[in-house]
Amino acid sequence: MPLRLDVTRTACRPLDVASVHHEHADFVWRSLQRLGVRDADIEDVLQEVFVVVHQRLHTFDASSRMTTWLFGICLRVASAYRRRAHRRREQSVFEVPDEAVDGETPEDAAVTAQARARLRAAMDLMDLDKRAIFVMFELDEMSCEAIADMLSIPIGTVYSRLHAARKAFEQALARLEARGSLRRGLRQVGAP
Amino acid sequence: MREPVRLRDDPSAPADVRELVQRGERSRPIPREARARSVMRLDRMIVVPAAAGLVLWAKGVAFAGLCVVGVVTAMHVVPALVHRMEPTDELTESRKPHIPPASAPVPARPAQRPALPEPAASDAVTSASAESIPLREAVPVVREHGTPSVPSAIAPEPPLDRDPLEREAAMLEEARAVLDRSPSRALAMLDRHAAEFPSGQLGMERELLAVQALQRLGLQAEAHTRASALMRQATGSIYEPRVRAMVDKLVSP
Repeated sequence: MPLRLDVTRTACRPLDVASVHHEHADFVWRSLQRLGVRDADIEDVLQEVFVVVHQRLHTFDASSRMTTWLFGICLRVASAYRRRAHRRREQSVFEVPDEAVDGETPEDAAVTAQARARLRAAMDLMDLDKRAIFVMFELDEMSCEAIADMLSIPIGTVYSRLHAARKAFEQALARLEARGSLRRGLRQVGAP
Repeated sequence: MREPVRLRDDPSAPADVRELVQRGERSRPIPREARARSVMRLDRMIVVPAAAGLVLWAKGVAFAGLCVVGVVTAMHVVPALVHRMEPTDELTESRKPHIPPASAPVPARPAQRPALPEPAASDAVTSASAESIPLREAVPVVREHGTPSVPSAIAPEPPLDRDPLEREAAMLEEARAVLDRSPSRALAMLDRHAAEFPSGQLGMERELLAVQALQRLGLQAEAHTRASALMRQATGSIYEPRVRAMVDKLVSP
């Protein structure tokens, strides 16, 4: 009986933005990283997300999970962030991450940095929802079940989105490769 | 349905793709400092609309008070006007200059006034205004309810027993607020922070602000020295991109 009472109280407790922040700030932070928000901008974008949460919390009807609702907001805010011209201009500044993992040789660190830059560049060419699924599964090593649970979607949908995301990733890599070849070719013939 | 194999473990995936994914970075949790700063910004975001709501509420109450005053004034003016328009012989008898006391009943007043050619309406209004003085005292009462709660919502007094991290963040936020207007004052605040929290969790944030303050004061050499020291500390942290951008902007002394 006490358990039932607790459940009822939890269900009836009015939501406020501070409690949502307390419980889900980490989820929002990680989601924004997965959606390609740069480290230098992530705090500001996190704030933008919670401004929207503050304004729209009354529309959350608890029919889906809070994480699903928050992820939808993250997706829209990150999409606006991606479109901002200044962010595109600054992209090159943050292209190559300088962080080296402990115990790595400088060469290893350079290779890792280069690989991460390439990975990031490829993922920047992907749609945001595909990118998020790709990062969750391939980099964060979340299970499909956990992803389905977090986004309130059937597990079959996760499989199909993951399939599409991998395809998009391959295409993005190919596009990057083609751009690189073109640049190298232009350099060889002396074009500006 | 079976869980798909990850690209990093899939031997059929191209080798370069496997390597890319293996070297890829996992998402990191929110740092404690960033969380504290976010909480502060969120608090500010919640408090300001609440204060705005209180101001609107106070305005509404004041407006309602004025409406009541207006209605009561009108109730006094109309009978006075009507009374003045009635022809009476008593008026000629009572032409002696006589100012009735403020507490005199309204209907009696027109009879005691000298019957001057024009001022009927204005007199009536004046007498009505005099009558309405006690009613206007309702307005300060409204203010008594509204005023104290508004500033208390805008600038809550920081409780003394707050979490040290919160206190740190609050001190830095104060310094940041005055940075543009008075960099020297910001610098003094930052020194206070350094004295109170010599190994505080927001030390790097403090140094970042200090460099900005020194820059604004034109102390480029000192700003550069401090920024270089900060750069060594910030390598590998979330501050690195900001510090690097700042160091790049600074002209070497």
